[in-house]
Amino acid sequence: MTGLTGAATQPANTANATAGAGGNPPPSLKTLAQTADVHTLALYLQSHPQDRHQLETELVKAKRSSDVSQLEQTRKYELPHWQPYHKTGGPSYVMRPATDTTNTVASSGAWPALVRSGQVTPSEQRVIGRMANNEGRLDSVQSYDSETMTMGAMQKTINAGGTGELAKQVYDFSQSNPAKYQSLFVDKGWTVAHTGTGSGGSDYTMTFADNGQALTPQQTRAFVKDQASPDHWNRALDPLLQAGRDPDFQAAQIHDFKARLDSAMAIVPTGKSYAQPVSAYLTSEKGAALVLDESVNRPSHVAGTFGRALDDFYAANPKAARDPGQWTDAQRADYEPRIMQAYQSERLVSHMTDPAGRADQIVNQGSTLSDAPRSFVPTP
Amino acid sequence: MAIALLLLLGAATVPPVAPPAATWEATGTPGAVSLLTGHVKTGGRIVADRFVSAPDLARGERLTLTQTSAKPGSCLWASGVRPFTRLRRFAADGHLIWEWHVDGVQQALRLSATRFGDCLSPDGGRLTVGIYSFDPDDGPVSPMGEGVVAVDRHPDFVQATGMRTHQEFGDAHGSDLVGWKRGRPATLLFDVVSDEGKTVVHDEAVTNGPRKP
Repeated sequence: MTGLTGAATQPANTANATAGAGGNPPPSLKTLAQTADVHTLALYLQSHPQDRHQLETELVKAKRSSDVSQLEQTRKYELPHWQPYHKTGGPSYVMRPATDTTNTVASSGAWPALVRSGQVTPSEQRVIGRMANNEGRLDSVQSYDSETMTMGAMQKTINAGGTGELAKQVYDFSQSNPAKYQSLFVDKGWTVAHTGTGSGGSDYTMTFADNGQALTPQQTRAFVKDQASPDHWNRALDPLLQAGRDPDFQAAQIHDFKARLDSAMAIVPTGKSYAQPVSAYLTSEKGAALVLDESVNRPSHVAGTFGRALDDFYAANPKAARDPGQWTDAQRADYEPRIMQAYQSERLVSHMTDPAGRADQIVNQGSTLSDAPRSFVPTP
Repeated sequence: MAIALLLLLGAATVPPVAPPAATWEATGTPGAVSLLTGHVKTGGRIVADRFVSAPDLARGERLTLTQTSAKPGSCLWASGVRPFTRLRRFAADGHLIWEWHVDGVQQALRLSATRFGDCLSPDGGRLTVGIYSFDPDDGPVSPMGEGVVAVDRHPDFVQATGMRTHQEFGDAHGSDLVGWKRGRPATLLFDVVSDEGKTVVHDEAVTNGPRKP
């Protein structure tokens, strides 16, 4: 039996309980069950899954029955697992069930300060929070696919070259909150640098340092995706998991959602000579959430899908003014639901993933979003 | 002259996508589909079943199949059916060629619609799918990405790396399926889209051989 190597996530005061200090043999399962905390036990089982039932038995004998289920939860959600994908795969955290709202965008503790400071309106909070239920959680972290790393509610990535939207997001965070960048990322091994000349995702590079030794982007990727080394997964991924749970980095993620909402509503639909942005046609919270939803799922489709919806609307309502600025309140109250309906219909054939289910989650399912015209209130 | 110009414009905007290679048929009612069958034009059937029973997916299936204006039998229409965990291939004479279970790795598949044409390649040998992870214990089902399944000889995922971008299709990050190119080898047309949707690079991937280990 070998000792634990997941030092980055192992509480210092319990390290010796599993590793066997000074070359001493590691403790027995009985000793572990009597002395180690649940997280340490979970780390142990990550490396020794065959000992699971015996350790659980020892926990019961040690009168720690309540820790058995806690251990299972910790193993499941707090430690990365190897996730097969295509022919290879990589480490990933298991997603919590929908009934568990932990670390969802909607439940983030970052919202009150953002709203109080005027960075986000309550209406934007409702729209983003509702729509984000269709996406990942703020602490989502995975490395199973062809990208080196994917993180957060908007599933931003760094690629094999170390660049990508995640690198840009972390760089922006380093500029806005250097102290938190230091504690959440640098102190845990992750650094980001502005390596390009522009300000796109490809202009920033994010890499990992293992025990103080800086790795290249390629080495970072190999380190994380080493199937035989769960301790690597812990060391590299746990800092990102914890960053995703930090209110300040959650605020950074919410800022990105708001930026996406702004840009989606500013899209000018393609089709029959539309000159006004989407926000001129749809002014309700439900409308804004649907547009944001498509933008996040299929960013290049919004202009076409919404343009076709307008084509459908004007074909059925030829007397409606082309310029929505000329609509009276009564006309808008009549037109907007029709445009919403047309837009939802066009989404169904827009090659989105699960368009009806995603829309249903936004407009039904106990949604608190308003469908009243002008109910969506963006920041000035 | 005018006709020639129209043809030229058409050629410029619509990629040379192959016509559908299968007709898809769902058995059961929307929300409770129990069998999805692809009647392959080159012969035989592809059959998907053992669907994930998550309530939200069943609801999405019911809404999509009852509301969509996609042509019944098309891949786009069939992609509204919720994820499944078993895929089988039957020959034209009805005998089972192979079956593939993905629940062993806690995954599920669903047809992944292309913008034009079918999710099955014109030679009947490649199928575009969405890949989902799910937990049989407490039910969360989450999309992982997209992939190409080899269905001609044995079921497995095959490599599909863009010739221009060298990005692997199916990483779930900004790849947008266009359709299968006409002819052989099975070549997948797709777009690589920037995060904000501002940049679109047209690309294609030949899916002829098995992925290198």
